[in-house]
Amino acid sequence: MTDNQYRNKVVVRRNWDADVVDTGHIHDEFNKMWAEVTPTRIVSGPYGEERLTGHNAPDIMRANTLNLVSVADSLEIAGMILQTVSQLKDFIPSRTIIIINDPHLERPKTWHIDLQINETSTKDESHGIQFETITIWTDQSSAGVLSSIVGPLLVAELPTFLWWPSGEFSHNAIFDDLALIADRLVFDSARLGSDAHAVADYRTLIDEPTDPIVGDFTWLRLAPWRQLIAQFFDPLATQKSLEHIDSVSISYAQDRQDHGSGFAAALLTLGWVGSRLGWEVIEPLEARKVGGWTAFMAATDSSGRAHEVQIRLTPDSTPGARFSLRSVEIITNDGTAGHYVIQRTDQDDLVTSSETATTPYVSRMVFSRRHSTVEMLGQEMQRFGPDRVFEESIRLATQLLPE
Amino acid sequence: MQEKTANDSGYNFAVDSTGSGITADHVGHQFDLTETPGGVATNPLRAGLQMDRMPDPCVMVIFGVTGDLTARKLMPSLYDLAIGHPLPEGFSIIGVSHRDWSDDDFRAQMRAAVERGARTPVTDEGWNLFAQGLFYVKGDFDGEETYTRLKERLEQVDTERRAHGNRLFYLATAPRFYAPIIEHLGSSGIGHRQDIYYDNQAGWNRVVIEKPFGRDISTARQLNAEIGSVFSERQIYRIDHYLGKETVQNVLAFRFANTLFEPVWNRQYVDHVQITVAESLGVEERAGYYEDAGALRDMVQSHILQLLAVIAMEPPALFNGNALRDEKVKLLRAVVPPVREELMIKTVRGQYDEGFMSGRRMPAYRDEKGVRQGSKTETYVAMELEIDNWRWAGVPFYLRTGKRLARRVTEIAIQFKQVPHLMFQSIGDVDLSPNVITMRIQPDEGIALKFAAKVPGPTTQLRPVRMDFLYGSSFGDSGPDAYERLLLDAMLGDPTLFARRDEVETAWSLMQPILDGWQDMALPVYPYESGSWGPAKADAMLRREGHEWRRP
Repeated sequence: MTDNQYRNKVVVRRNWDADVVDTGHIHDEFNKMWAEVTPTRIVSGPYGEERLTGHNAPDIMRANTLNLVSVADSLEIAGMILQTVSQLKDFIPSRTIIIINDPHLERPKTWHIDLQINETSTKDESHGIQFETITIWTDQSSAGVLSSIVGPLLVAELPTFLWWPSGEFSHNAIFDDLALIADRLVFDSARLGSDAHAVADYRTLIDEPTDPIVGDFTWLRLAPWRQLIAQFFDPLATQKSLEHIDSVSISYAQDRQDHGSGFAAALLTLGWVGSRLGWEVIEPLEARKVGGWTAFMAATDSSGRAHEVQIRLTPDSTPGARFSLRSVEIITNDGTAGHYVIQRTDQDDLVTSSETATTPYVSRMVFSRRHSTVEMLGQEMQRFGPDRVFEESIRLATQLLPE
Repeated sequence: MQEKTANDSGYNFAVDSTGSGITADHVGHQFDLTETPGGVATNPLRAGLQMDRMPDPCVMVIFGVTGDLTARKLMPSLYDLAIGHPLPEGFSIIGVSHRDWSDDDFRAQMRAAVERGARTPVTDEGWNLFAQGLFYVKGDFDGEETYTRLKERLEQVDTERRAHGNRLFYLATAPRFYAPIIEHLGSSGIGHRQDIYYDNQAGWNRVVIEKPFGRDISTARQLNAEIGSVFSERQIYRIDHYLGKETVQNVLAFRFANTLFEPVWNRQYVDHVQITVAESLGVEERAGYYEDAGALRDMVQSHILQLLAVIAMEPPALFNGNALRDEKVKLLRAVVPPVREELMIKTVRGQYDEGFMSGRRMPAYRDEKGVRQGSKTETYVAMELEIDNWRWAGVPFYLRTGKRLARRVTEIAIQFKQVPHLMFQSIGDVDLSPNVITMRIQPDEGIALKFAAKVPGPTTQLRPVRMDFLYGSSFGDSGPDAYERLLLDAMLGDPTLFARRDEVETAWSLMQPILDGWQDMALPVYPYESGSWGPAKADAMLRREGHEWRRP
């Protein structure tokens, strides 16, 4: 279903300023708002079946999925969060709590609270889903304050997702505070920048077993790349070459279109290939004078013989490199050479090519549309359990980072 | 407890369709598949990917490509698969039919179908990539030259698109063409028997067959024998799209991924079970087929018995091809169909008459285009089945299906027994209806639990309330079409959600005594008003046992 077949509207709304946030009052207000919009239920039939009365009543559902908490530290981010949540479709949080932490808030009171019941429906209004949004503007940022408000506002028994769209999170009191009540953290490592030291913060996210499960938009963006790399080695004839990879070269966008960087994507790709194939780090990443990074890893084949794999990560600032990865090149040598390349040619297409001693050169274009933030957040919200492959990829990737 | 067994009906429930002396037990286990294809599953880079198994490059040959099924279901599903999960490099489709089309005509027709039916919006770029792999072969299904041309085309596509000889044949034709197509595939050398699971040298051959799998036990056996003369059972995928539905698969998750329900899922707690597959549509354009089939063959023998199997079977040890199907077959073999005189009180057949639906007057079945005058084909069936095993002995399973019923709905309702002692009786008028778990397969997919609650207030009044899980409110989009899942499974070589030979033949052997009894005893076909819930006789059938049909 296309975006324009969906329609989002505010069904009912309340807002007010306050010196303190009374979460009980917020619950009471929501109860009144739901009473306004919920059709009357009547009981009929020999088995006590319930029927809803009112216009279109049977086709309206109340989302019963998860809590989504998000924090904006600037008006730009706040606008992006609000827009993203309002455009969600297919999978809608039951309650979204948006904290706009604005130290320059010029209001007579400390808090501004906005409650909405929203409804997303198809254009022909054949069915719709209603959900709640709470937006809280505050200039408060000290530890403990926000979790004391957000905690009681969460819908019981539903998982809580913390979407942290700003990127930088280390030494952030609000992040530490809210991560404690979240079951899953959703962020975008592309926003951590292109500096290897900045990306090192990544390590802290999966260290403790009590940490929330991490979901990364960058990992989602890599899905078609991983799919295509794996596909090279599906045929039995090429599968044995996986033990004989000589080098992996990844070129990434120095500056992404959205002001992020493709460095984390390149590092994660490397972490993924290496962790799947059981590689170990020999030499961590070292900056090259010509730009980019080089490293060496050790691969061991099934007979126990080890060999070195040369790694190259190269930033690309050309106009064509506006997205996470620009290209991945894998060279194998199991007596005869194999050459496997994937390259992004534009925002919708990837081109793959491969050539080995036994198979002729073949190239094809693969339709691989890049997903919007709305789509990626929608996908992340449908993942509840940990992704062990992702976690192993991060672990190896961060081992590659220089001390 | 009923003493008789299924075999008392005089029908052979131990299926031996091959004439080889292999019983159903053996049939179930002789195909001890390596459940994952040899090459792909060992690729370490596949772990954790959304599709941890990617189909091999292959050519799908669709016979009957100009028909309704291809346009409405197959092609939109294949496009959605191609766009949603990149199908393997070299995936191609060859359509075979008698129309005088070129490759470009075929592509144009299929684009129109995909635009109408696919979930994914069709873009020029996406379509062009997909259409590169579409080819057409003109010919009659029983003409030898058709298969000569098809063979040449397959070899050409194999070379150009590197399909490695992997072929999926899809029979989307009228059933009368199944046998000639299979025979020609064998004699032309296009299709060949493979007794091992994965042949990396020659590529794999699989054949997908749409229901109906025969029209009675003997034709089902004959069809299976004909297909079996060219392909081995492990190459045959009998598709019943009900099993591809997310909500049907969710019945398995509901029962076997929760500890809460299984302890009460037995004769000790369950009073009876109702399975309803109601259609609001009439026979529409299918009178030619339906006149010879009727509701029993069309719905009960396939879809409803599949629902019965998943709701009543024992937990399989694994969710894989044989473990699941073994349990379904075991359950079906324990079903006791009504026979002879029992047919008069445990089955009802009906035919829709005139009536009103959505304010419009609808014609009677007999007045529909293509229906024989005075037709006695049933458009409605209700029946009571018993399952003679430890878990279900004495629990009636009521099944019903019909056309032109009040609304389109498919649901399974498990009605539990009343509490053993009602302590609230002293307060007089108590309406305590029993607990019911309802699984709605379509529409409004979900699960509801009905239980009693106290009405707030100073007096003790009880009222049934409902706890509702709706797929839409918890998961949003209802997910891929059943055909997407099943086509992908067939390409991957995963037969779990397809019907096995012994399953199909056991299902037919349950229906055969009913079909024969109806004919021999000339039991009446009761008329029912279009827009109603079926003939009054069906209500009486349940009332006799103190039960009542649900109004879904």
